[in-house]
Amino acid sequence: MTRRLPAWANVPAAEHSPRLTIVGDLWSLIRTRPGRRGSTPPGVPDPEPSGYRRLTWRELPVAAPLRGRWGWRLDYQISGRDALQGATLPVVIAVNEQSALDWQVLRPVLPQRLRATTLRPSRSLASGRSVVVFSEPSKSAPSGEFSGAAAELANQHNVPIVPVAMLGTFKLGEMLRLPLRVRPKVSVRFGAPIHVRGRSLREATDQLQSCVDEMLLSDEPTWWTLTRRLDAPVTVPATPRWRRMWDQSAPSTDQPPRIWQPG
Amino acid sequence: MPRPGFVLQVDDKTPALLTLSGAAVGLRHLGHGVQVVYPPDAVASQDPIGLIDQGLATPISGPALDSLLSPETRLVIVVSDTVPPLPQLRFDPRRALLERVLELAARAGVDDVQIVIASGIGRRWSPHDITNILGPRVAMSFLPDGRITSHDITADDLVSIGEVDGAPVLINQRVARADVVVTIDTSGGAKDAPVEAYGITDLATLNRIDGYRGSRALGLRVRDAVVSAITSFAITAVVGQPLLPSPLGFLNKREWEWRLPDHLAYAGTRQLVAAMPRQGGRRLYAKPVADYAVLDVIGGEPGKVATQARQVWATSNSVRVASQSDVLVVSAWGSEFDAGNPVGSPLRAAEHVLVDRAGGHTGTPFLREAGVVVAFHPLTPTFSNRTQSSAADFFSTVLSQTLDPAEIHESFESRALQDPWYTNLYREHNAFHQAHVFHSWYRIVAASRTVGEVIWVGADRRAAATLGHRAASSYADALELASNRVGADPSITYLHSPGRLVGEVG
Repeated sequence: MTRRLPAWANVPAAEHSPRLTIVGDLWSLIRTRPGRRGSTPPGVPDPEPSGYRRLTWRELPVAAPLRGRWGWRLDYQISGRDALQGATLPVVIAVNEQSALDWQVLRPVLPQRLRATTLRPSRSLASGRSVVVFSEPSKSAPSGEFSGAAAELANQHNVPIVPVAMLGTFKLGEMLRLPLRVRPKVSVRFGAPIHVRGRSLREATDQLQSCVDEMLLSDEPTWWTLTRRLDAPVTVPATPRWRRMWDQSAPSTDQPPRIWQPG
Repeated sequence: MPRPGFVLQVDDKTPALLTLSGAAVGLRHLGHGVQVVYPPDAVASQDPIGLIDQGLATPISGPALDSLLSPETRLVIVVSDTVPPLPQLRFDPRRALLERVLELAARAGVDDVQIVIASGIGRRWSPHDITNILGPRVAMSFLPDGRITSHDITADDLVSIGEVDGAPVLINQRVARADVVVTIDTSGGAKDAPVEAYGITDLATLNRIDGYRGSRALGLRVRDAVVSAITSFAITAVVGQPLLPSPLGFLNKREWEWRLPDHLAYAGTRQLVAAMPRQGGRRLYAKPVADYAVLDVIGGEPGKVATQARQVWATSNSVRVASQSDVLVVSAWGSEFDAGNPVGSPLRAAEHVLVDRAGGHTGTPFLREAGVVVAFHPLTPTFSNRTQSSAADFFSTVLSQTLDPAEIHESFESRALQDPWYTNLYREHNAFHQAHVFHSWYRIVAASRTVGEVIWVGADRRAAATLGHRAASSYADALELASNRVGADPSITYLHSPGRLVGEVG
């Protein structure tokens, strides 16, 4: 039994046809004079300033940056970019130091929205710029030794620390003076942001240190190190597959091993 | 703290106000004396990690999550999708919540972890959905081993956990056999569907609590029965209003705060939709993503978490409205209620307008008894062939015969529920379950009982008549039609879009 629709319902719908609306809209725009003062209706609360302060995947560093002085001279390998997605700006970027060129090599791969700088860290963070902090050279740790400065800055301004491990910049200046036919490889690895609030500065610094160390060691830098480690007894803990995959797909270690000599 | 919602009384100086109709945008003068209810402002999200850690470590009731975990624990994490937030989230807090819970589990040495996506009669997630929403890290770790599954309400292996009102309640097998169940949810609107009752149960139970003669009280009893049968910990992120990115950023601003770029974006959007073929215009705005601020993260026992999350959301998004009105005007923007279809199907549009928007109040409706709802939507009868096949057949076959829920329940529902084609689409092709459209219709009819008439502006006349409503060419025509019921000088309330709010009327 079919319902009987009213007569007005049987009028066929108008066909969709292209229309020109922009002329009328622009004319209305001219007449209303947008942005003129005093047009806010009475009794309406003032708006709060707002804007995007988090990194989206579109703003993450690309695989091979072309901008900057070094973009075309180096073969960049960037991993762990996914860890930066959604990070609130600004951030403190903590990097292991290997050479005087580290900052110049790192700068092209950082998202432009970070507006990263190495100067006047506290003032820069207060004005919304991210700051880059380097480790001090040390023999005890492969990444050098991080002072408490990164954690202190992060705690003071309530921002996360992004650990970054750089490989391949040691003596890079000398290497670039050689008549090389291939571009030297540089690896930049981003780790998951570390949040300092709710823990001591010492704890946060230790976590940063171990995170950067792990990122450096997770990828064997030379065939020799790899070969030497083969002699050492290897104990494989019985972990379920999901945890192995979870660890393996962590932002700091999601690149397959490569054998090459950074310096 | 974002700007709270407010009510604007339209006068001579008020500029033309934004209306949305399907995928189209427009500026209209709504007439003197109209009260326009604006939702609170949308603000950008912050990294929610701090809130999540606090929610996990200091639950509002019961023990902290890490004290429930040990290496021998069989852990099941239930990700709720019973009320998916729309427009889609730019940063889904469920991903951050899940990753944080997994970090805790890994630290506690838990070996046996499974993830269940609980969408009830909604769409089951495909691997593509899982990767997009939960992130590649979770997908790579759990998908290849089949450790992430979408709950199937028609599965044969559902497990009984007891009876509620004399009928058995079956739930997901993995959940029933777990030592600890962690439920992850978002709360972003007045609609409330506890995942324990609406997400992981069986079809018969869902029909009893959400179908014809279904009741929320029964749903809560089912939720309590499920919670008492398992050891569970709930964590819920309360999200704010959707903040749309450019070029739709002008939708977030109040009309008198538009600057030149906003006006140009508005004019460009209108021209693109108007100049392109229908399909092309739709594709341009097919899947807008929005940024949602996380207002709070609440952890603890499921019932208390749900109650507090609802209170937090209502407190942040309530707007005081002076009085009920004769006419309620609502914009229906497709991206707010139909994922992947910027125009939106007629049935979803009707549910959005009558149930979600007109029903978003604390007790006293926006509209007086027998008032008129005027809605902007084209009601173009287009449905997704794959995901909304049952809704398309319902609209063309069932509604063309009757609008009566009792008759539909008696004559059509059981036949549709047993149809193997629809069931196959639901199980294998990520379609909505066929019960979904029946439940929607029952809710639409229940919400329409106190409404005198529903008039759709600029709508397909046949589609409007099929729904039992009326159509008008323009807003002025709609008011003229409405004058037969509410007189020539009615009081009018306009619910501004996009965004959702709770009205404290009177």
